[in-house]
Amino acid sequence: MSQKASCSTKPNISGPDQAYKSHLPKSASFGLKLEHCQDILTTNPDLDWFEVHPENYMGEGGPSHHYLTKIREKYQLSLHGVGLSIGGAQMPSSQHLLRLKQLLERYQPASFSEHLAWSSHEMGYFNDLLPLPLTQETCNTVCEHIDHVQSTLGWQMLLENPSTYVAFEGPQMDEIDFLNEIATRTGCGLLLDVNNVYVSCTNHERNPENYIKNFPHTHVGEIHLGGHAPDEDDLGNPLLIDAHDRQVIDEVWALYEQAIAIGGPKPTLVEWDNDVPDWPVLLKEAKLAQDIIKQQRAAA
Amino acid sequence: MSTWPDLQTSVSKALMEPNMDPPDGVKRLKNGAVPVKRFNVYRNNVALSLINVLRQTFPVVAELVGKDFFDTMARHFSRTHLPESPMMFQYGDKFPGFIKDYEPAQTLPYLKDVAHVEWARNVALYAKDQTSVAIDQLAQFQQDQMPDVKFDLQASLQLINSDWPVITIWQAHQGQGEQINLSKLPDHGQSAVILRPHLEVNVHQVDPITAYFIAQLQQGQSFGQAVEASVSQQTTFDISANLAGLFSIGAVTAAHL
Repeated sequence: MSQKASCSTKPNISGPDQAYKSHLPKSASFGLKLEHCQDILTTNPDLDWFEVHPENYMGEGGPSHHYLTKIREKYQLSLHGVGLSIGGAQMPSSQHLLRLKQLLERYQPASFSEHLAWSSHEMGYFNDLLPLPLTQETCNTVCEHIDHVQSTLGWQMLLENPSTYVAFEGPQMDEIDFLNEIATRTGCGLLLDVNNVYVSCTNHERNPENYIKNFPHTHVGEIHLGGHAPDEDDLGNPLLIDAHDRQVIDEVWALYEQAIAIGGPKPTLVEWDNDVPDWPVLLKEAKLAQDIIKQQRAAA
Repeated sequence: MSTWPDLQTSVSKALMEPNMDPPDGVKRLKNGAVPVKRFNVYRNNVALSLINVLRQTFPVVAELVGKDFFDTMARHFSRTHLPESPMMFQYGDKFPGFIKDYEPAQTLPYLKDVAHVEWARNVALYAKDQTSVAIDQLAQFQQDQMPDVKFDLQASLQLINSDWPVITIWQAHQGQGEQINLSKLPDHGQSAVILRPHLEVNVHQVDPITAYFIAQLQQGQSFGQAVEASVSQQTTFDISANLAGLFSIGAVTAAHL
């Protein structure tokens, strides 16, 4: 955990069907909130990197850029986008891509990731990660979008598996096959969100351990952990909601251990976006993940 | 089976219509019923996330009307005004105008102006960073050049002119736990200059004539033109006090001919 903010090398598009080579340190961290920046800059927690949503840093000036610049002097960064709408039928917005490109150039992060989801339509921006059917048609569309994003940004991206609450009618591709085909065809890496695995598998009555077992771990450049809220659907069946508002549960920690036992240590991020506690609570969650990475290294 | 563009349009429409069933194409439950509760997770995420964005940007409006009133008002707004981009700090520019016409808020006629103050602060927060200059910059000009001098003002600078004591109301809700004594509120309107010379956004209550003077400068009038216009509005306009005040709040980034 001594590697501090070196100038990161832009992950080049590696070409189809290559293992993803992450430029993020293979250590654990937590999502950076603006309100925590001052404390973090004065206490210098022993972490290698932080992750932020680029959409919050697209203003011209102000405290957000001031603090992120100072954080970047000490730590590596991951930009984790929520607004590209890669899963939508329409090509991602060229203005939004331009803003992303400017941020990537300004902050030289070690990683850029986005979601297998959509959030924009002609009607506007929904500010949520919405689901898409998993068909060959949508797989082709997402591949075209990722090709466009990667060539416009000149940057290899990671695509994250989603939390979903509904599915679609008609024959659907398996989510892992869908993601694997995208990674293989476009050369993008994958971001394995273990909480999303648990949420989606519970919501759609699939086995999360099998999901982790069958996931193409060579493409994984980062792992996410987070908390979710339990609810019930119309028939009284469990419906988990990816709320990012609490601690990671034991079942998700177990899936995480399984994932890094198979794929080896990965850059790991704890997400906590609502009812955000003081940052030492986030640090504690990140340390739990770091302990698991250490144990795996010792066992290997 | 509809294609993805058509299905995406149907889902988008259903997201914004709380009483519409999830569209065909969304998988039915095992008993054949439409998955209303499951689909509502997305509806709630969209609505609540946008209400939260508005609450963060307009905290004093939210305090003034209380949680339930604010949530209902923000929900109505978000249903008819989806964000135009994923940059949530830009969401809410039309909220003050919406409040002005929102029927249940008509008993609080100053509410829209409080929203204007909060929106101006938000715009200032994300505006371009610029360095302010001190009044000694003016030493470079001869006395007879002064009327032709033009001032570049902070990109973050915004002016508020309200028929209500909106700054007093706003200040009473800055976390000091003070309650406004409505009977002690000033009985006249207020003006303010809002700007961010460094990291913090400042709200300066000013006389309406000062706001008028700064507005002239902001529109590109020279110092002489702005003074002339201000004096014609109010013969007692204090030129040197206003000039000093302009620099002391960090409003000026450059002075030039």
